[in-house]
Amino acid sequence: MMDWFLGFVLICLAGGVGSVIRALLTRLDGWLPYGLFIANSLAAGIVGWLVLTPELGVHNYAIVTVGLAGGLSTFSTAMKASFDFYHRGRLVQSALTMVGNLFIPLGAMMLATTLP
Amino acid sequence: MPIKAKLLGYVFLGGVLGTMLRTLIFEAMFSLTVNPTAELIALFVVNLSGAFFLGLTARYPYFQSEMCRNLWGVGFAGSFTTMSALTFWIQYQSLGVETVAMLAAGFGLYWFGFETGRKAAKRQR
Repeated sequence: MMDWFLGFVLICLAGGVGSVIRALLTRLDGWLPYGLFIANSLAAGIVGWLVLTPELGVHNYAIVTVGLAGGLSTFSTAMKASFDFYHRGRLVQSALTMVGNLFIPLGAMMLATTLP
Repeated sequence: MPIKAKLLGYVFLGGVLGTMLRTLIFEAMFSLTVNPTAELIALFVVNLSGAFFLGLTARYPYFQSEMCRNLWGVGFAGSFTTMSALTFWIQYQSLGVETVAMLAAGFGLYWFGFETGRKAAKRQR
C-alpha cells in the first residue's frame, strides 16, 4: 500500500515537472506551434524508448511514462492550437497543426523504438 | 519574454493535479474492464473532457487571471489530457476510426467550451 502511494505521489510530481517543461517548450511558436510538436514528440519518444527497456522496472516506468511523458504531452493544447488557427480563418495551419500533432509524435515513437 | 518563476509554480501545481486525476481515471477504468478497451475508454474520457475544460478556460471570466490560466489551463488541462498515450495506442493498436473520432470530438468540444465561456463572459458584462 505504501509502495503504491509513494509511486502515485512520484507519478504526480513527475507530471508537474513534465507540465513545466511543456510550458517552456510551447513558447517556441511560429507559423505552426513547433514547441508543441517538440513537447508531444519528446514525450512519445520517451515512451517508445522506455517500452523496450524492461530493466527500468515497473514503478520507474510508470513514473516516467504516466507522469513525466503524460504531463509533457497534451491533447487539449493541440486542440486549442488547431482551433485558434481555425478561428482566425487559417484553415491550412489548423489542419497541419492537427495532423502534425498526430503524425510527428508517431514518427518520434517509431524512431525511438529502433534505438539500441 | 522570460516566463515568471511564480507562474511556472502554478503550472507545476496544475500539472500535479491533472496527472493525479488522469492516473486515477485510468486506474478506475482498468479496474472496471480489461485492456485495451479500458485504455481507449480512459483516453476518450480524459482527452475529451480536458479539451472542453481548456476551451472553457479560454474565455470564462473566472479563468482570466494569469494565475488561473496557468494553473487550470496550461497546468491542469494540459497534463490531464495526454497525447503520448494516444500515440502509444496508435503505434500498438491501430490508427482507426476511434482516433479520428477522438480528434474531431476533441476539436468540437474545445469549441463548445470556448463558446460556453464566451457566453458566460457576455452575461457578466
